[in-house]
Amino acid sequence: MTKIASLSDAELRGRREEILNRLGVSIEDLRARARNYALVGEEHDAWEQVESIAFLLGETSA
Amino acid sequence: MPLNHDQFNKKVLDFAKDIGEALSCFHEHSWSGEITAADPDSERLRAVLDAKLDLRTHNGSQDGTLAVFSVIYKLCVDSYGDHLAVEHSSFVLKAKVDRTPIIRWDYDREAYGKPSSHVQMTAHRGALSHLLSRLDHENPHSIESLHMPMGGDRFRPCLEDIVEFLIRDCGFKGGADWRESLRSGRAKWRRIQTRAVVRDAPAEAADQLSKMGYTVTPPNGGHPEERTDRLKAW
Repeated sequence: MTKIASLSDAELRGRREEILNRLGVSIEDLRARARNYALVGEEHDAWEQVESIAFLLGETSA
Repeated sequence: MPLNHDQFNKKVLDFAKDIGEALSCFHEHSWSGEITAADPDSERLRAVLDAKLDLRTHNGSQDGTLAVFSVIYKLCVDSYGDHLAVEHSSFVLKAKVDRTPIIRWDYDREAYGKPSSHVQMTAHRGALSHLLSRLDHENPHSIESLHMPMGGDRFRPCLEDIVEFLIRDCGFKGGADWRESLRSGRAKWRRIQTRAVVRDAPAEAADQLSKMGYTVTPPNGGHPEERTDRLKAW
């Protein structure tokens, strides 16, 4: 980890769309499953990535 | 003085070096990691460090990876804008077979409805017992044989933290004014611990006070030695 990849907001949103499309779920469904401790398999990793993207986009607090 | 993007990124890389050294303490050195930062054209000084490490058995079996250790840090600046701050950290032991978390150690600087630093036991007994058995653990069926670190001598949870957990998370009923009573007790505990930490590392405390504008004069013999036994203890 000696380099930092700075991504534009558009690139971050595109990455989020890819993650959701791969799983075939909406962000609302994934969020609801996380809130209810109902994530399974790859959804765990996907939710972590979606949360990280939201943080970088400033959609969650810092 | 508030950090700019370049200064922030440099601090992130310094931080990542420490994380890499910690992960290199496993027998497996094949950890991977990446750091992603927010749009440089924005005013957001934010970065996410995401590292993973495959953990294997070492008992001669042919199977490879047994679990994955995942480390995520969401980094930003502190409320003064001049220091790196951890907004969230998550250390997760995941079963390789279904990528399901077994144990999570989470920290949230702005926690809502949960302690800022907490452990989540996600595993059902079977998954954890399976993992421990594969590692030739002496007591694979006794979850209580695992002792999860919670901050050592100085930074361990206080009784008030556990009482609040039993009320808020488990659903036990709190008495009158339990919330304020626990908050007061916790503040008292942390002030006591703050003094204890200062005694463990007096030069660090003096340095921080000086940076805050205090005039700090060491005793004639200089700063007392750090209590490294305390600072290094698990």
